[in-house]
Amino acid sequence: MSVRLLSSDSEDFTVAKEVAERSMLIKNMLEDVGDNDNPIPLPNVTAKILRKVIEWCEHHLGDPVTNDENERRNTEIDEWDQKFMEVDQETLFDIILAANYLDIKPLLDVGCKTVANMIKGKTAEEIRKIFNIVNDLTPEEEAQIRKENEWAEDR
Amino acid sequence: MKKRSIASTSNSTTEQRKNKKQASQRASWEYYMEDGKEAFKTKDYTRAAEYFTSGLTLEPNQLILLDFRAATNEHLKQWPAAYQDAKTMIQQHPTAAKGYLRMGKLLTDRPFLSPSNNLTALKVYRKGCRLVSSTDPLSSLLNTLKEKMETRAAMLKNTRDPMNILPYDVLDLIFFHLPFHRRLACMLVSKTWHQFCVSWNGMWRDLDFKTGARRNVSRRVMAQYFKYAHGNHVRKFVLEDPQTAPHALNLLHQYNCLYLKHLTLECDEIVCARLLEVLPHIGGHLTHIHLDLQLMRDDVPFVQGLLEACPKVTHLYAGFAPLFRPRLLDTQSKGDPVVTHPLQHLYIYGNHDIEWLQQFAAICPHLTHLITNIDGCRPGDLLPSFPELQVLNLAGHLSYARPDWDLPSTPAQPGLRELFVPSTADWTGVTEAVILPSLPTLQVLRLPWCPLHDWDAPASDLLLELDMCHGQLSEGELMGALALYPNLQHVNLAYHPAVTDDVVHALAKLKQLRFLDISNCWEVTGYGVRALVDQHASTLTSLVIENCHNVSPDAIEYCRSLLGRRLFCTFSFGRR
Repeated sequence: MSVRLLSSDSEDFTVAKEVAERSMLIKNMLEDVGDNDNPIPLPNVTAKILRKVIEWCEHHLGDPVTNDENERRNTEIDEWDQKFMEVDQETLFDIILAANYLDIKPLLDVGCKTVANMIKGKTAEEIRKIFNIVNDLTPEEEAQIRKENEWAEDR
Repeated sequence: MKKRSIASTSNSTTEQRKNKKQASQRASWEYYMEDGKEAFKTKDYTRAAEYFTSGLTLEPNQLILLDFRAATNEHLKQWPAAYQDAKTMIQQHPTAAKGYLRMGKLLTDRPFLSPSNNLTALKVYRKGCRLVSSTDPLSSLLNTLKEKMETRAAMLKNTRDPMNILPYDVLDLIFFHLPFHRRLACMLVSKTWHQFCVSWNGMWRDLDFKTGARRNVSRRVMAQYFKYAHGNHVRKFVLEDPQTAPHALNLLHQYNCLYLKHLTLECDEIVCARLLEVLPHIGGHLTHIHLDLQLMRDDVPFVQGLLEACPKVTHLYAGFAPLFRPRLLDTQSKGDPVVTHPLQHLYIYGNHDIEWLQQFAAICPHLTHLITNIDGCRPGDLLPSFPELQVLNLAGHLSYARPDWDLPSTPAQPGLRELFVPSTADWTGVTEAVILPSLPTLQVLRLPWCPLHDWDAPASDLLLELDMCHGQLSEGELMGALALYPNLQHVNLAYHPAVTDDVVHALAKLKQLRFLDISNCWEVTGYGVRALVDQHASTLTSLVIENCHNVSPDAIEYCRSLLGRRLFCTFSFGRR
């Protein structure tokens, strides 16, 4: 059984049903429409990102599905996923948004952990540099926040 | 020439150089430059700037002087003046690399620069690369910088502020993975980040004042956080300062933190008393309590009170001062039906005895982890009281008892998984009453200073870890025992006098061996160790052979060549 998916830029993907069903959104859609050869339109996902998402789903096809939120959240990112997430920020955020839209919780978790790891161990100034953020806090606001949080390490 | 005269009084060599001037026919601005460079070297930037300015009045638009003055102004933080000089350099000498390099440096070096400066710098470098000829000695540097900036600009083009593009529930997931002190640091990033942090209801979920703490948090700041927080949102509270703990308990009570699940406190008597008052109000959902208790009077039924106030607690870690003996069952009269409690993990250190624990078992029959210290305890008397026990550690060593509460719990398999019997226990009948019945499920068996001379236990494929350091088995018994457990990964036989080369050969037959400690086993020679290392070089994670005096230096050298840092070998008493 295979399923056809249509990206926002009108590229047609044919994938195995089990792969596509890693996405709860697609799984529910398939249940609703039944057997049908029409492609499923995914207006929020470009072909570039959809290709990445399918690659991830294919690699993790055999993974046990765990509903224990704590267990899923607390496991470390494995090596393959780390490599998979070595992409530029734009792609990373697009993958996260796609995982959120397609409702693929484990992929969303991997993406979020990757972003969290980018923030860990960095000062506010370093975080600004990574994401190219301009500091628009007034010196007074900054001093106030610094004073409150002064007991904690800043990285 | 006024400035010149100021300088000459402070610099004795100036006059001499002035005299040389006629002879060498050097232009006078060069002397100013020399003096300026001297001042620059000694970090006297104000004076250096004066020299360069004087030089420039004689020779306006001189490239090197402009370059030096720009660098000096950069040190003086006179940004507009520095920019102006760099600009003049480019305008007057469009084919020289120096001007572009200076401008690029000014644009990229400034701290807290705006991100657009990088793009401006890239434009400057690009223009430079177009106009500067390749014969300029600095043109290659200019090229490298241009390329660097190109990659950086490409990277910056693809960076985005997650706050602007990710939806709230995704940000919630990301921040979930950050510890409390990291969440606090994020408040400083920008207005948007600050706003998110303060309004996000997970922000104050884990009030952990231990992880990432530079010093103890003050009462004022703690109270401030509680003002931001919703009492309902607080799930975890960690504080290791008995001085502020009573204040913290008041706040938890005052702000109605009814859904607190995890509480870690360092307690003295005052904190303990306050705890018993507050927990009936906020302990309803607590599942994990970790108390580092200091001196306690022994007339307070503390554990009893704790369990009554927290009906859902499953993990209790209570390090007691040695003199404390909680009188658990004082208030329970004989006729009352026994109300059981769902406690699963108990770490308790103190001067209690086996009767106390047996009584305890009547209230908490679901205990799976028991880590405690009871001198002279017969483990066989304890096991029947706790039918669901998986881990029994009678040594009470902290190093073996680190609570791993935050790890996902593995599905419960019936039967004892870990057993640790220390030398202080009563060993009569241990083999028959404990080791024999539990071996079919045991994975970890720690019997340091084990006084047994024979090994009568059956074989098992499940046993992964065996600790028999300081043991007393004979060589034959030990080899026989090792042969029974083919899947052992972690073996500690340090100070075991019966460990010989033959025993090491038996160890080499363990296919899964990862960790082996045979320190202070003086019968072992290089012959045995070499054979073991040949077999396991690629899989061993640690081989510890400290003070094995009969292992020859060349055997050690050989092992090191195969194991590298995975070999631990020193001689604290010198070689025999």
